[in-house]
Amino acid sequence: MENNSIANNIDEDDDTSLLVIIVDCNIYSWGNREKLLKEGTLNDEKKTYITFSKFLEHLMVFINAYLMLNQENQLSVLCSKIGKSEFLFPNHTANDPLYSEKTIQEQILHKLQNMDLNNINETEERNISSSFSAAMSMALCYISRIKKATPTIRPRIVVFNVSPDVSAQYISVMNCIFSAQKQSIPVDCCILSQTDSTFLQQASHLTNGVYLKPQNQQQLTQYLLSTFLIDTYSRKFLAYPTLKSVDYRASCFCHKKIVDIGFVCSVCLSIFCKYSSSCSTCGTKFSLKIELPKKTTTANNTTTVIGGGNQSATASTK
Amino acid sequence: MKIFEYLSSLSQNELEDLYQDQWTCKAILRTLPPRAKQYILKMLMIDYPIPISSAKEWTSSTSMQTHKEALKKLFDLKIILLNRSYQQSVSDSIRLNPIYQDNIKKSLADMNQTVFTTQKETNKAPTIEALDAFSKSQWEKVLYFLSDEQTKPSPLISELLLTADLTKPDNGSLSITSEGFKFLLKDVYTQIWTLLIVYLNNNTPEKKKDLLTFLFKLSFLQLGKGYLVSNLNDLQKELLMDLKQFGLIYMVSNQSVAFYPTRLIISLTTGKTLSLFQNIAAEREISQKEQGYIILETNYRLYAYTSSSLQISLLSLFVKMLYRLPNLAVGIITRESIRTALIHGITADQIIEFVRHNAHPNAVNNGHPIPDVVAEQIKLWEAERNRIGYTKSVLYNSFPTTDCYNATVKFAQEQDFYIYSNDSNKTLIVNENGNDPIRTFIRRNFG
Amino acid sequence: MNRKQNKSQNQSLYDDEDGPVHVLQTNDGDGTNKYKWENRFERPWDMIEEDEDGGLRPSIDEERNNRNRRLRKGENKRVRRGMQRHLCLVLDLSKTLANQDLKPSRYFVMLQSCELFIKEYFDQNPISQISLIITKNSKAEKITELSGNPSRHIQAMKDAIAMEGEPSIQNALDVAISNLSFVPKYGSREILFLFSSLTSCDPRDLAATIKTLKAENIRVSFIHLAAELYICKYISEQTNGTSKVILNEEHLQESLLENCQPPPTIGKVEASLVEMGFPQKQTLPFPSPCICHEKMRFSGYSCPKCSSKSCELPTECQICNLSLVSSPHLARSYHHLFPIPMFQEINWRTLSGDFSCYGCLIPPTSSSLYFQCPRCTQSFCLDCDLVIHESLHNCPGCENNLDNPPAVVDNSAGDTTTTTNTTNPIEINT
Repeated sequence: MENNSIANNIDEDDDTSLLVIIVDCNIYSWGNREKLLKEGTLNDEKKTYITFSKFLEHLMVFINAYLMLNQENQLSVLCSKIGKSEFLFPNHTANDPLYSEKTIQEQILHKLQNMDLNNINETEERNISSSFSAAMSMALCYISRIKKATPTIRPRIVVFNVSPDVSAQYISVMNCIFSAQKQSIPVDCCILSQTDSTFLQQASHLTNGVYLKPQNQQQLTQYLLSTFLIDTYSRKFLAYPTLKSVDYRASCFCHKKIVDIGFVCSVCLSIFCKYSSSCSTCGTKFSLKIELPKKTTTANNTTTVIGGGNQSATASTK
Repeated sequence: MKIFEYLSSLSQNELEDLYQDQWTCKAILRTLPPRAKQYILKMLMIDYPIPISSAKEWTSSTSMQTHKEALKKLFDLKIILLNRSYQQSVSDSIRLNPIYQDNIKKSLADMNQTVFTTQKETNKAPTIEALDAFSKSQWEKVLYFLSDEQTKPSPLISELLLTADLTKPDNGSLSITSEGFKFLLKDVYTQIWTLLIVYLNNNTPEKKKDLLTFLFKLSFLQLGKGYLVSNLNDLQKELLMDLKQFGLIYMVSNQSVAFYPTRLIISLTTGKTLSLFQNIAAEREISQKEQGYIILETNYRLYAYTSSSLQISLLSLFVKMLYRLPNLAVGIITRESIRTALIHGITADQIIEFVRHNAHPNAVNNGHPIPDVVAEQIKLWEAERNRIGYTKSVLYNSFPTTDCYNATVKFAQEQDFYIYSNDSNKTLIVNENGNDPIRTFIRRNFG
Repeated sequence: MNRKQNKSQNQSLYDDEDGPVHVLQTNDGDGTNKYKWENRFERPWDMIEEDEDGGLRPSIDEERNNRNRRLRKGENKRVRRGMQRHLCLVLDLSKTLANQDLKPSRYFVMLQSCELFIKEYFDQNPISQISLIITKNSKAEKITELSGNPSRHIQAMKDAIAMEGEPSIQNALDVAISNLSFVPKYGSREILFLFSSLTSCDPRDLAATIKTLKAENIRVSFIHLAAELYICKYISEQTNGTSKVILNEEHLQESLLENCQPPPTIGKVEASLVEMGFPQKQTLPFPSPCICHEKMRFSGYSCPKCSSKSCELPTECQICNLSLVSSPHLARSYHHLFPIPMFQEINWRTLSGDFSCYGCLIPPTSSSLYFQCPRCTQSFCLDCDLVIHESLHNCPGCENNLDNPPAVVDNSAGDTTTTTNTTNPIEINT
């Protein structure tokens, strides 16, 4: 018995981790922020917000600190831009002589600084959503590969978010969250915008990660060093901020109203606040009676395969 | 870890001298246990002392013990300074050592960190495998010298071994001491540190500081890259030559312009073998960590998948080797073989630790690097040797009455002097300390 | 993921050992299992392929077969599935369970696999329910009611006394039918029968039971621990179920876990809007009794209809029969509805030099397989392909193309409707 405990001790002091940082590089959100800051309407006594370049400084200190903590710590940085997410580090150009001489920090910084925040007007208004779900999916693929090579490593995802949630990504983001939850990869969220992100609240709550919305962003480094640097191993015994509970009430598809009691389509599980004769998502026609948990004898109606009758169904609800 | 013991023994001034160097601060930071690291970073941005009670909020209530241990370690290294308060109302406060804090802060803000100038890419650079092979063979030479006295290492090494009490002069040649046997069974980093600390102590305090700083700096180098010798100062060059003898640094010749760090020196401060994985897209092959080779079965048979005669001679310290095949040596652990090892001053724990540390990956994956029954038996064999304990004692006999005898025995038992008594012939043995009190006791009551 | 790897390791370990199993070729590609001596002679030269420089590299057929086997269930077209499942798990606890052909014994292996199955089932189908039925001594008995609490089922299964008498297929089916007939029509009704004996003790004509099963739209699937029985196969064929005979312990687990995916609905099934409650967790300063355990608790979910308190979600309010769920529970089932298409294997010869996997950036090595998503035409390595289909259920490449969906790529799977699936938002609010 004693022998086992010795073996455990050796393992336990290992805080080697794999950190995947997802930086929200939505130039629209950051550019808007910049504009508001110039006008001076954003900051007040209690809350301060920072520009992208300032944020980069804080981020680089964080990355530096992380790499300093353990020689074997591994890092990956992804940026989620409008419509496209990509790896900043490691990247394809690692063999490029331009990059090979640079340190990890310089490579990341160089890539991030290349973002031009000033031409936000050129971006079309309709297309302003970050591709967060893609970044998250890539992060999970990457983690699973590293875990295969070094099974003892403890992976973790940190998300820096400024842009609002994109409801079209709901399903894919939830898929990512469940996948992370199953592999017990904590998703830590640092919200830099004024409003909370419901996606990320759920992500950190379900995966037992940190959720923090720093009020005073001039001091961002302090937040980063004291809470976001705590590795998965240390979380067993160090205190860190988590969400105690998240409101999991659903909002209906038809009016985006929060509902306590809703009607769920038995075929595609869409939620509605009122009874209707057919499902606007999958086009299924419902039998006339509301289904009670009793045996019913109503005649069957015709059914359609999911995805087929989409357009007609949406038209009918309008 | 050896290095912490050494650093803790230094005075505050000496440590603060060391902390003047950024690289030293960083190297120490990453060597600390995880909890201590987190504490340092939590306090990094705070420039004023904080009450020690608020540090308690960092930890979960179930792990107070380790919390205190971590703080103690930081106190020992003078990384955290304690301000005792002499007022009742104000509690003690702690803060980071300003010198240390400043240097860590600086290195966090520094984007372009290079320790030494690297050499331009050449095609003559040794491969990583070659470096590994070199350091391994060099270090094995040192160990060979200890385990069989045939080979002769460089004068520097043999002098160090002598100073470290690992060998002793014996009829003009050197022979291994019991300390030396213990040394052989330790892991390679402890071995290197043992010798390095002896080496450091041979130097003056100022030089010692520079040497330590240099050692810490070396651990930030990249494996497989060449670094220019010309950028080093004279003292560093001197140390470089010595480290080469340990097998920690590779140079083509003493005059070459570049030196190459080995895996050993890079992982020396962390004590963990570095697995090369930093640049994933660029580097395809992931170097294997040093693999274990021992499979120990419950029937006391030991199979060592190795062709290294050093490893086999190490094993033969406590295993009776039976046969040797090209890549496999088979032996059996017997009471005799363990006793021989014990007589040499090797402890059972060291043997068990050695087998565990070098266990074959298959054995490790099974969850039993060493079968419990064998480990238990080795401990029993050790306990067997300690069956007789010696205590200086005094014997009393020919008590005048049974009452007197009984009362004295009772007194001796109460006072914790009692060792042995025999009622039939009224004999009592007490330990040495008990002699005077018992004598007065008998004289006062029955005299 | 990890478990699966272990499993394949175990398999190879197992094959090396002397035992009856090693003569079976379990991994035959086309799914037929033959004895080794029935096989054609092996052609080891087929295991090697030549690369463009004329060098030799090991063939990847084995990896390919392995993948196909694992993802076979994913080759489905987009079908309508019964998302709210009601499953009667019937365990044959007859004396045949004492048989030790599975190590350490059939009983033990069955318990272990079922425990795993129940957990995985509720993980993938959080709003579904299970009821446990056991059959022994020629009788059948329901040991748990239809409910969504995995621990209760597992406990009941472990507490059941096993290894007595003979099983009864008919009695078990009758109990299951009476249990399932009260289930609303929109939910799928299934019976999964783990059968370990070669005999059955039935009181009446089984044909009548089969008729009822068909009328009630109940799907019956069998997993045999011993050998195939004609009657079982017949029942499963009649009710659109499956019938399987296991090869070894791993195969039992695999066969069970295949049943975690909701089955396609049979024929015309009534669709309906189901009333569900989305309660919030409430913590009160004073304890009040919960409706499910009748214990005093501080926190719980109170039913939005009748305000009675339940301890955990998902559940059914015991007072007003409202299903109580939280939105992540619904979201967890969505990936069954919007599966990602099977990736097409691409030839490693066509890959350019600076290519790397889109998901994990791993550069191509000669011995691995590469796949391409038919929707976004990004390429992935074998590992990512498995992760994406088995765990993640998102294609990173397609996610990146959200705003400008590419032209539908015609592929042999004939799956052309999939591009529309990402436009259905489901909002969650605080």
